Amino acid sequence: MKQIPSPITLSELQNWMRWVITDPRGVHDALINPRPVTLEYPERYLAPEPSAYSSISMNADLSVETRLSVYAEAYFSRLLESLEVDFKRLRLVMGELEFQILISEYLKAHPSKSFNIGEVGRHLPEFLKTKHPESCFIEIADFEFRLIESFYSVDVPLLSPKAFESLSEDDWANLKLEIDPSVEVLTSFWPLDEFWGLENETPESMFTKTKSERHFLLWRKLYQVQFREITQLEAEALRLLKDGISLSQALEHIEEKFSKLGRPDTLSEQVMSCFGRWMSDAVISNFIT
Amino acid sequence: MTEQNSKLDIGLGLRAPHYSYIRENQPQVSWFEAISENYMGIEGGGAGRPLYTLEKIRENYPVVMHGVSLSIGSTDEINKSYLLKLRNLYERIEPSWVSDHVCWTGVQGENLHDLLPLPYTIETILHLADRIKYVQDFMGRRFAFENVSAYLSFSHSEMTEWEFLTELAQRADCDLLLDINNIFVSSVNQGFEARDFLKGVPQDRIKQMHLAGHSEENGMLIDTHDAPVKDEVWSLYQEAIRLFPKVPTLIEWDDKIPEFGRLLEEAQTAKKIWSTIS
Repeated sequence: MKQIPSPITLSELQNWMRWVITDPRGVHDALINPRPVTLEYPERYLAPEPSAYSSISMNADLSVETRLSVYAEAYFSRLLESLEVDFKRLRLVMGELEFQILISEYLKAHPSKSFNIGEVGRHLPEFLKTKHPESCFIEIADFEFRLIESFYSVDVPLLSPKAFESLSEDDWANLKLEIDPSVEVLTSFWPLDEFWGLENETPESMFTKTKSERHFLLWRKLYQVQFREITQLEAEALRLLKDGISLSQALEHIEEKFSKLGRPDTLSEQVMSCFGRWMSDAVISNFIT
Repeated sequence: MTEQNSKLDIGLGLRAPHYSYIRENQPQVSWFEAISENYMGIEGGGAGRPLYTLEKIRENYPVVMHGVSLSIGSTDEINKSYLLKLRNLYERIEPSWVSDHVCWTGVQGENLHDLLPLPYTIETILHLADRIKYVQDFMGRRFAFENVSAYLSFSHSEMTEWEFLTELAQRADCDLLLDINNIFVSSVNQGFEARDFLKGVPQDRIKQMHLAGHSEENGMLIDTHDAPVKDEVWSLYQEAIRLFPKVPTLIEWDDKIPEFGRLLEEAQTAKKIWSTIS
């Protein structure tokens, strides 16, 4: 077969199509005004040169614009549908329309760069800080993306409690606990427990911040993401252990910190009681002596 | 048709709403096709419950892996980290065969999450053939590439889609996955004769076929995968089975997913047609 010189290279064609399909104004406005003056995200609005418009076959029944619009509408609706599932609680609190507006703005700043559509919302919590800095939306979005991360965290084998039976006193003194990769410790003034169970549209005004911070644990057990409220002490212990310090050092840190706060001197016992629950909940995945 | 797929007939697309049903009831299904990206997890993570479930289902059924993000036609560099993840997945699942699409899904680092059409030119064939050979070498296995539904065509195309696929399969030494619904949808949207497509592709490269539903919007057919296979597509499938007898065929249903039993009904209809040619 003979190669005929093409009016446009494949690379030029793809760059132009990417622009016209993802232009936030839609195909019609993009084609009418391919080089608008915009202050934000100009790269989303400026048509690359050369144009590939004339490379798309004309048809009496259906215009080039109509044909391109099929792809443009599918682009936005596919990403919106995916984000509606991943951030269902955020949508319930924001409301359908506000959520759609948010996503159309978000995609200008953070178009998908991953092969996995489930990653599209990774930057949504940060983005919300610029749009709704005082709102609970930021924490809901952060909570929901952490749910995704916990769900997809690396699989590690379950640790049997019997593994600890053979440890000597010296072993216990140097013991480092490895926390399961799915574990996320969350601290918030907002009622994450209410967001967790949210099933129906509920406006932001129905949620109030608490006076003091609350602590929550997200983790995956037997491939299901779990959630529960935890004490400040348990949150502190888990954070220290996740940072990789030994159990005995973690206990020292905790005693020092909480003694200053006037807590009772049974702190070690409380941590060891948490330890029992972490084992049964598969929060600990391994240990090093 | 190769020896490996000679025992498989009508398969079903594996979708999350049916996981429990399949594991609990182990229905009579020849094989399942799983979307690769659904089991590859997210950046820095694993693949969680979806991969665990797929491995459990794989214990009882042959599984074929079908990708949507290889973006073999993109002018961006091939995403090596994607290939590595994909190869790891193949090693764990040991699929009967693997496939993706003759398309591009993004460029300049962006992913549009769609199967976008390519112009049928020699430039495109050379570009695709190099990349397919690279991918097949890297993965150590042959791929089947699927024709996509197209809502537009390019004025500088130098050949028909079937001529393009034939030349591509030969130059890249890959197989083809014929989506019968996509052929029908594109034939209406672009004005060609669907049966010419079937007659124009090489029989010895057809590894698998797809059947799915479509819908009509604004004077165009859209490949929505949200409805039963249409009569016109069943009719085209009869012709396809006559030309490509015993090629394993899959029922795809990705949106408004019905009860598993409804999928089995579609599979039974396909099996009747599939069995007419011995």
